[in-house]
Order: sequence, then C-alpha cells, then structure tokens
Amino acid sequence: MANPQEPLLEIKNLKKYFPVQRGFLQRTLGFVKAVDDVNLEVRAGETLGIVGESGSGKTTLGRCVTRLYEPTGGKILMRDGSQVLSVTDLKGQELKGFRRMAQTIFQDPYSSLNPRMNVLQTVGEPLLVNNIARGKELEQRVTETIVQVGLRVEHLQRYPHSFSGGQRQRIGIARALVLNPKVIVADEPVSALDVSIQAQILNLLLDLQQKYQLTYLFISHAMSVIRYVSDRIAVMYAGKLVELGSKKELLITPKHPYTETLLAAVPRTAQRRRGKRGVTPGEPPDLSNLPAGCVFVPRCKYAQEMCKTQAPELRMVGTDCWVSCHFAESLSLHGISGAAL
Amino acid sequence: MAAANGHSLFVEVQDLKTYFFLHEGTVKAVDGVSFNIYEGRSLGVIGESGCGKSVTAQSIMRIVPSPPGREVGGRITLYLKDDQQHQEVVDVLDLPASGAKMRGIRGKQIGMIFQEPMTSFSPLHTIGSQIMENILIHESGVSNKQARDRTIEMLSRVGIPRPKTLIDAYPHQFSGGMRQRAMIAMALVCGPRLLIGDEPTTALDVTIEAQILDLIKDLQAQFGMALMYISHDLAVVGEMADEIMVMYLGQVMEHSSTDEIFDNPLHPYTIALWRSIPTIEGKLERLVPISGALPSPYATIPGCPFFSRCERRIAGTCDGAPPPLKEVSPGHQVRCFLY
Repeated sequence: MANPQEPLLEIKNLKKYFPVQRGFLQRTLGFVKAVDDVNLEVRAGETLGIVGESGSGKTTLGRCVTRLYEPTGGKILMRDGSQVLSVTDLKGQELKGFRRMAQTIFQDPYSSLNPRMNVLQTVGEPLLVNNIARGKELEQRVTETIVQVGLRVEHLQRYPHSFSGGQRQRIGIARALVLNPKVIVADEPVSALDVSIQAQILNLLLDLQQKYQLTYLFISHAMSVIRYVSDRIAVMYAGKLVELGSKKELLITPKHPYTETLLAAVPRTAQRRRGKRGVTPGEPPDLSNLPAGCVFVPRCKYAQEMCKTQAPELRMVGTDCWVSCHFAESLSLHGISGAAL
Repeated sequence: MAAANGHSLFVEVQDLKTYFFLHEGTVKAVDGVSFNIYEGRSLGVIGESGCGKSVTAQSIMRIVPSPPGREVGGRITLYLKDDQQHQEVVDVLDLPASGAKMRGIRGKQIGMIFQEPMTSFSPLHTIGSQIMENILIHESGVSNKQARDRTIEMLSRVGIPRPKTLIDAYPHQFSGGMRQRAMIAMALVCGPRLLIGDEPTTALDVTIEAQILDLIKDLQAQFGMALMYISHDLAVVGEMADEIMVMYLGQVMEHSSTDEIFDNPLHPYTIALWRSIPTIEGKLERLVPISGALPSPYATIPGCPFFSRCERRIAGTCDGAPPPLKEVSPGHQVRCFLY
C-alpha cells in the first residue's frame, strides 16, 4: 500500500481563467479567475475535502485535476509507481491512460447519465473505449462492479428513468469505479439526494475507499458532509486556496477568517439556545473584478490597511496547516467545539 | 378562542386531506394532518421530498395546483381580526380559491416566501412596482406615493442597500440573496399575521443563508407574527422553530417542542433521520442510513406508512391498521404503536 504521507498528486500554481467575451467579434474584455494560483498536495489514500461557496473555484479545480478543463497555467504532477506523470502535459494515448486513473462522480445523477443507455452500456462504456474488455468479459466486469456499489444483476438491462436518485448515483459511482482508478474527484455527490439517501451514498464511498485504497477529492459546499468524509480540508474563496489543514485542526482552531465565517454560518440546532452567531455581511465576490489585496478583504472583520494592498501568500503555520492570511498567528478564531472530534 | 402561553391561535388545521388525482392513480399528498399555529410562535415542518410539507402550506394559502390537486377533507380555520379588532372565523376550504375573500387573505393576512426567488418575481416589472402592487390591492385609500414610501422603508428593513434607487431595479439585477430579501419585503409589506417560508434558503450559499435566517428571525420578533418554516434541512428548522412537526408520506409522524424532538425523539422515523444526517457538531460516528427507499406515492398502505423501512416494526400490528397520533407527554405527539 502507498505511504499515506506521500503526495499522490501535486498541484503547483494552478490557474484556470475563463475569458469574458462580448459582441460579434467575441472580443475578450477580461478574465474570470476561477482558479488562481492554487498549490496543493493530495496524499495517497486520503480524502481531501474541498469546501467553498458557489464561485469559489472548487469544481473548476476538480475538473482541472481530471483534465476535463485545460488549465491556463501551472502544473499537476501525479505519482504512478516509480514514475511521475506531468498531468498537464499529457497528450493522446498517455492522456487516455491517465484518465483511467482519475475519474469523476458528478453532482446531478439525473443529467449525468445518458437516458438512452442502460446500466450495462453506461458502466461498460469506459471498458469499451479503453479496449479493456468486450462481450462476455465486459458483462462480467460490469456485473462485479455494480454489485460492489449495491446494485443487482437484474438492473443491468434497465434504463436510468427506472431508478431512484440514490440508485442513479450508484450507477455513476460504478462508472467511475469500473476502470480501477487511483483518484476519484467526487463533485457534490450527495447534494441532489434526499436526506435519508445521503448517508447510504456517503457510507458506500467510504467503504469503497477502504477496499480499493482510493484517493478522493471530495468537493462540497456542506461543511457537515465535509466533516464526515474528510481527512484533510481545503477551503477555497474566490479562486484562491485560503486554508488547508487536517480536519481536526481546521475545524476546531481555524486560522483564516473565512473558515471561521463558514463554520459560524452552518445552521445548527443548538444555535437557538445560544443566541445570535454574528453573521458575516456582504456577498460572494465578483470574480471578474477582485480587490487588489486579499480577496476576502471586503467581508473580513479583521482586515487592516495592509490587507487592502498586499495579497497574502499561502504559508505554513503549525505542523500541518497552510493559511493565506497576514495575521494568521495573531488572530484567535472560533471553530466548532472541540470535545466532539 | 384557544391560546397557548399567551399566544393567540391564528390557524387551526384539522384532519386536512389534499389529494392529487393523476392518470397513474391518486396521490394522497396530505392525509389527515392536524396542527395549530400561534401568533409570535414558529412551527417547523421537516420531511423528505414527497412528504406533503409544501402541499400542506399550499393548502392553507389555497394555491394547490388544481386540477389535479384538491383539498378533499378537513378544516383550515383562520381566526382573523379586522381593523377594529373584531374577530372573524373563516374556514378557508369553504372559500372559492380565487374569490375576493381568499385574495384578501393571501398576501395580506398570510405572506409566503419560496425557494426560488427568480421565479416568484415577474421579470418584466421592477421589484418596487411588484411590492407596491401588494399594498395597493390590499389597502384602500393608499396613494401611489404612500405605497412607494412604504416599499422603500420595507426594502431598507430587509437590508437592501440604497433602497431609494434599487426600488426601480429589475429582478435580474439582484443577486440571489438580494432577491430573497426583496421577496421577504413583498411578503411582509402588508403586515401579515403569518409568514410561511417554503425552503426559502435552500438555493442560497451558506453565508447568505445565515444572513437570511437571522433576518427572518428579527422580523418575526418585530412584527410579532407567526412563522411556519418548511425545510428538509433539520439544522435550519431546528434553528428557526419553537416546535417541530415531522412528516412522512402525507402524515405527521411526530410533533413536539424543538428541544424535546432533538433531545428525546420517539418515532422510529425521527430517530432514524437523526442518525442518518451528518452534523457539524457532536460526536463523529458512522452514519446509519435509513434502509430501503420511499414507497411509491400511488401505493395504498394499510398500516403505518413507515412500516417497510422501520427497524422496530411489529408484523401483524403495524401493517394492519394505521397507528393513531397519540399525545405521550404534554405537547409531544407520536404516531406509533410502540407508545
């Protein structure tokens, strides 16, 4: 088994800018910096939770990692045995080989499945396009995989419309799993599901991880879900990685004001007994028009003069915690109550 | 008139049944639901999709899409007061849904906010004109100028910046959070005695959701109105409500004070829900999913609707006849044969 401390993926200065175009000639007026200079390591066998609000760049980051998007700049390296692949430079057959190792589970189990393909075709397609199996062998592999995710053999010939949301998400998981990937990017895999179904899918993902030593990039806006599945957590805001740390440290003693804000915003039943939480004012940032200094300045209650002009770099504080805030050491921020972890 | 702890009764729902008559069969969306709503208090309604929580609220407002839906039984009594504080008691199910009386209740006595503010506003009219319309329709003798001034004041109370300018903005010019604030302004501008929120923060980002939840709580206290808050999110309902009603397949499974239902849940469905949902605080244990799936909405279930998924079901008892809703301790009702 891989050394858990060894990075499986190294993301270096990753950038993804989307041009803002207008008019007949589609002139480029500016750029939306969806992911801006993100540095991150993903360790073999861990679940790295990526949390942030809409527009924070968490989905874009996930799509760059699986090369569904072409990054604008930066590098992604992946360890494959003794080899190190430069993911961002792969082409042709090599890229196809990489895609076998890095798969995605999408949010919406309704739109991510082709309504005209039955389970056998949907889950078998990756085997077919990669020339791994066909005919009887393909059916065998697909059957094994769908049983792993809690579906049954008689489901093979059925079409997506005859499944519930939870079962569709199981089909999506089987499709990601059938190629024996190393990394799975799970992009809000339970957000579209009913509350009583979410636990089934979360537990399934955790069990599969144990069984196949999978590495997860788990993207979600829901802090409670992130807390349940993650080993480490990365917090994104306006395309920047603002904090990265072990689950325990980040939740109990957050170092970035935005992490504190996110934790305070999570509704909790005990809130009404404890009174008001001190809500953070302001709206999510406009990505095509970001402030010059720290991106969080307009909403940060601890902001000082230097924050308006100097963008903080991501730096290490403590043993296993990275923060991009000038005042990370001097602030004492509130997380969740610690006794519970 | 009944009163609880000094709060006067405003809505009394008794044995409400709202069915949808479809080609595939009859869906009993709400099947015998009873509860009271008091002024100044908040009732939370929790349940998964298809449990009938939205249809219950739509029945009170008489906005159930009809056909195919129809309120086929029960009573929804409103204890109205006119301007001279004279009491009037009406059963909204006796009123024509689009008649003058019901139109005078909707928007005036009861305000409602929805999940998706974009579809609740007309894109062709300004935010301000849509809020003003509410005043001009419901109150006689109010001039345009007065209505406009009150709209500006209301917009500023819900936290819209520069209300004098933004009153003339169109819905598409607002962000999601701002639209939700504007919708709250529209719901409250006539000073309703009940505000119904049907998943009003589900489409919002968490930090914006926190802002809106606090705003609703503040305004409820200022206006002294009743609140009926519907959501699938237990934590949100727990934060907003004084008492909570748990619904499953059109029936109330458990109903009690918020503290009681979180600290001492009794119904196997409530207990199973609590164990299946990740929380931000508390011990980090492996979640226990609720086994099985929701039964088909067309199915006729002779006994307890939760029977097929219940861990503590008693064959021969629970699948025979439906269990009654029993008050097991003061203010704590459970629909289960175990109690």
